[in-house]
Amino acid sequence: MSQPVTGETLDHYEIEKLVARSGMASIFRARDLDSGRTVAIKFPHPEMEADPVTFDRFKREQDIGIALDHPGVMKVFTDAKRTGRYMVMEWVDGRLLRQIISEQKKFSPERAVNILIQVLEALEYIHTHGVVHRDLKPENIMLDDHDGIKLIDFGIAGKEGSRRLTFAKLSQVMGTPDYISPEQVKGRRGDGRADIYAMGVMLYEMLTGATPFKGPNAFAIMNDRLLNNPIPPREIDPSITPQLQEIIYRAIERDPKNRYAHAREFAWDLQHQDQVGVADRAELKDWHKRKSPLLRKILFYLMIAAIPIVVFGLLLWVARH
Amino acid sequence: MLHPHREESAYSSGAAAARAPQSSMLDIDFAQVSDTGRSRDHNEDYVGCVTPDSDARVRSHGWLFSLADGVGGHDCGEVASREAVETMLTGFRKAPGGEPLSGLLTRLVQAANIRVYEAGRAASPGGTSMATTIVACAIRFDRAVIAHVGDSRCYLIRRGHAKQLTRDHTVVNDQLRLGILSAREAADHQNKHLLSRSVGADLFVNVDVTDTQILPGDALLLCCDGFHGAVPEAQIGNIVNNMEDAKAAAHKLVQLANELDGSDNISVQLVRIRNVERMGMYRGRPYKLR
Repeated sequence: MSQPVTGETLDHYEIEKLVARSGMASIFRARDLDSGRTVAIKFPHPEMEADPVTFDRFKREQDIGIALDHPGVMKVFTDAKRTGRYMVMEWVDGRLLRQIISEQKKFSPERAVNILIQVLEALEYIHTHGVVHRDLKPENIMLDDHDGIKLIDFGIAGKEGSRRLTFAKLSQVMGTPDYISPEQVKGRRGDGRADIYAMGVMLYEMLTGATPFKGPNAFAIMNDRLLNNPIPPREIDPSITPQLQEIIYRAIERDPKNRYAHAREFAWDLQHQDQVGVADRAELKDWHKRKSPLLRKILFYLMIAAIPIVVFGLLLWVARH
Repeated sequence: MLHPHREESAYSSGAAAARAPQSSMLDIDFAQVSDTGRSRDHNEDYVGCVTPDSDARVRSHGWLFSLADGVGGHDCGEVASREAVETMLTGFRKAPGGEPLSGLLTRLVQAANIRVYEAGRAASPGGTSMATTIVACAIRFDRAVIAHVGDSRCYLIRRGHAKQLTRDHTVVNDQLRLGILSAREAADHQNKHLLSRSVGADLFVNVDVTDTQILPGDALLLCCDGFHGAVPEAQIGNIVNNMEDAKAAAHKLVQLANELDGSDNISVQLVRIRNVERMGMYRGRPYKLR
């Protein structure tokens, strides 16, 4: 099916404008001629329709969008009269959180907390409905003029990886390297706590202006969270309160068992920061010690090499005494 | 002579015996099988080989075996694997005699990479839509040189024991090698098929090349992940060791992979070494060893 053009009528939708184009699909603003309301139409690229993996992602996003109904989640409309493969969604006037972060770098703690609490409320709703987003990032959160939020793009929400793919599709199957949880890096599917981890990373980014884990490429960034601790937020900006820093650390715990179990607990702490106890964390002391896989490997081989030396030394000592 | 294959269940075999080789020359028996498997409706694998048609060609070029496993939606995987193997076979036939095999194979894989990359760009102007793994084995005198990209493998089977000569280029294998994952975590990883390197994904590709000495009685097995994901190494060694005929052994291996799994395409190339020509090298030139 070819892409629609401005002014064209697609079923009962009049295409008004192309508003975005990604690797997977084009998004158009359109008017529903039956109801008169403005809608967004997501139209997959023809070559994407031929790729079962990306097309599955598109279909999954549509199914999940139809099942969810929350003011913080972009609504997807069912339409029995639709003749082509496209998705009709509610129109949201706003901008992506990514655009705002790129422009402003850092948010005030009050604004960051306000945005995060709304996202956590939406997350609590989707988690109680059995859906895990698994790819939360500023690109998937829309903000209106009053900082009201909408979660978008549930493409890998239900994903169970099995097919073989090239490295270029890493983000599509595992998640975005900057926001992916440690358990996802280790190949587990990840539950609601993977979304909480991504929100912790986003809070860190909004308060400090940088994501916590670094590396020269996606593979290194992904693995960095399993090896190293991030720079403490208060080292970057001392105006961040110890309580807010503690909340970030609780959200980005490497082991999901130690993380907030539910989005509502994370939101509660953000709303009652004065009641948050600040732990004496090892991460605050040894964050500057950087570990690399190569160093670990060298140390391992040095230890192996040291074993016969130690044994020989012991035998020598026993022989002399 | 070319032997490319990708059919629903394609078998082909050959031996140097028809040429009545000299007793001191490299002599091999081979068979290649590419099967769609039990679940898939089309075959994205492609296998091919170049066999020398004269004694002079045995010494100047030797044999080339190549196996590719396509990645991509619709028919893109099929196109990628076919283009990659055909590029390698054509390049090998045109190569000047006596060229060092490790350099030649690296050059041919690079050429295959550019060919697939361009085909992908032509099919999808917005980005590359196709890629493939490849494993190629060139045999001359008493050396086998293996070049590979992706997770298609080459095994050396000696005295009934199968040894993997290639290292899978997957994200999980790289994490395992760096000590980030344990062997158990790697085995349970839900994206263990995510390739860290593939032919056609980028304009340049890093090729791994392995050079190994071969002995009479050895066998080399090239296979795709549909095969090595299903059949354990111990069984590969047993079957190849117990079945003298290469065609029968290759058939048995594919049949076993289908019985154990069969959810993916299955392709193997089995090369049995009957005799080798022992050669040494002096200042880059080969000389005969007694």
